[in-house]
Amino acid sequence: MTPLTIAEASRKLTAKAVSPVELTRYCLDKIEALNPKIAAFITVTEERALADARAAEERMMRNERRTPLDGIPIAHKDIFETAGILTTAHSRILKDNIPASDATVVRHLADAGTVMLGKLATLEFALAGPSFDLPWPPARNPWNPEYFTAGSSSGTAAAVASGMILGGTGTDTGGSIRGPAAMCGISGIKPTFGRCSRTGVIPLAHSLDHIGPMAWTAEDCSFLLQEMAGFDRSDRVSANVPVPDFSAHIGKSLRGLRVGIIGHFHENDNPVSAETAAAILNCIEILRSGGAEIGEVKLSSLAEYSAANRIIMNAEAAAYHEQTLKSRFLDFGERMRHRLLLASFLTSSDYIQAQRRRRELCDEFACVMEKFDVLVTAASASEAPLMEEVTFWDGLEKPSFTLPWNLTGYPAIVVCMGFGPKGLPLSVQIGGRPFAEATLFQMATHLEASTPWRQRRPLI
Amino acid sequence: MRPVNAACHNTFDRGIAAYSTVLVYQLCLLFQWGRVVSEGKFEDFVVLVRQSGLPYDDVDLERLFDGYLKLQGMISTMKRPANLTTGLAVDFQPEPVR
Repeated sequence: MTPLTIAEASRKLTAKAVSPVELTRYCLDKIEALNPKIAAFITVTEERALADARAAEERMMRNERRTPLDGIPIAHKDIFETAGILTTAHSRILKDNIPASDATVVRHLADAGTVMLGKLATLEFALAGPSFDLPWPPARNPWNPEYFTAGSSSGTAAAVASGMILGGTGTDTGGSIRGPAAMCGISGIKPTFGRCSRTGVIPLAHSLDHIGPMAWTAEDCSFLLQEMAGFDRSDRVSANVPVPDFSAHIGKSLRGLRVGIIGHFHENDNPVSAETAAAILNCIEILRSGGAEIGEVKLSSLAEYSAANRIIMNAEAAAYHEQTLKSRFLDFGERMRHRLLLASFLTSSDYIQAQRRRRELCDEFACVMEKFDVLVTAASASEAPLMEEVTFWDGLEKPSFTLPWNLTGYPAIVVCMGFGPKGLPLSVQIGGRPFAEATLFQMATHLEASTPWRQRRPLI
Repeated sequence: MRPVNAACHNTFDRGIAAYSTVLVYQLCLLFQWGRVVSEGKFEDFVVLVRQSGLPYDDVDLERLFDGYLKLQGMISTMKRPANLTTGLAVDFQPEPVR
């Protein structure tokens, strides 16, 4: 069996051409073979997975599949609480943490009939890494294990790309879904702020944290988001809005859709490699030939969006970890304790000014989005770096393409648009209007169907 | 790694830590800590770390200082918000009592 997408597996399950138990055993075999090299998993829940699969198989045989995800093997980033299952945040601080209940999103996906294979590597508390002084190693890029996955949903991206799972959960505070998805050549969407409940997910920065799905294709992400989304009174920022059919526009013409290119982000503010620039141009041409209208967009500099985001993120992270930083300082990894210590020197004025500037940048974004349905720019400046070349203050050195969408809360997706000279994936990023994720799935699926890149898998 | 305690004691020896609490407070009010240290004096930064009350065992202070300068540089790229008088920084609406 070759790795299947969720859509393919779901069709086979409905046709009883494959069983959930077979599918689960295939994934468990992959994990056993590849995890020593890729380190995507922190915990593998084999017994639970097989029990889930057997239950899904019984439903399948009765023709009572609950959703397209029924019987589909997935796994969760290890900052999602899972009842009775170790949840570490990839940190020594929580190395024995066994939550009593599931995160809301974990529960939603279990109710949809998914098979849970285990818990996935992240950066320490989704903030600092890659680190080699923690109880578990960092995840490695399946396209070449010498290279970084980016973070922090690194385990999810690596596990999807290597075929260990068909999909999984991630969180995104500054690009933690989209960065790893881009580096590992898969699809990942950061939905609109408030679309998915954060209850039961260990926070990084409460005003920027988003929950979202990661999978091989955009269509697969739409299936996952369908079950993850929804209002949850227990999350104060959960949006009480209807959940539409996220795959409703997939396959429809792009005619009439208005695409804004934020050229200065990837040409001037953080110039991308020649290959990434070519991938963006290719993306634009495919969208244009599909009927979309293309225009140019000017926003404030990427550095401004990045600064506001990073000040807020670091200040909120420092506040969350303040007590533990004092009481268990040396239990944090080296990168994490340096990062938190540094964040502790941000002033209240820095934080307030960043929040005020955030409001102004949100207004600017809203103004631009009145004229466009989506915005296009890079997902990253180039291919993934070598693991050993990731600098200590990586997050502070260059403006990041993903941060504006966390700051504004607008949705954004990444799509693989080719491969660079090192044989590693190149991706583009498409941002949309609030709660218009369906348009992003429509665009991303059109790009995937117009290129050969979804046919190429890592050779590991 | 720079020997942290030695660096701090040297700093003290040179009298930098002789800032009185009042003077430090006044400096904070006038310039904010970060802006004073961002002038690039490692010794000032060491004092800041010591007086923060935060742990710094096993911390490479030179590396931390490097990060601090990067952080201050990043802060300086952000424009000062145009409107400092009305509106809350973070949206908040009171809800009716149920």
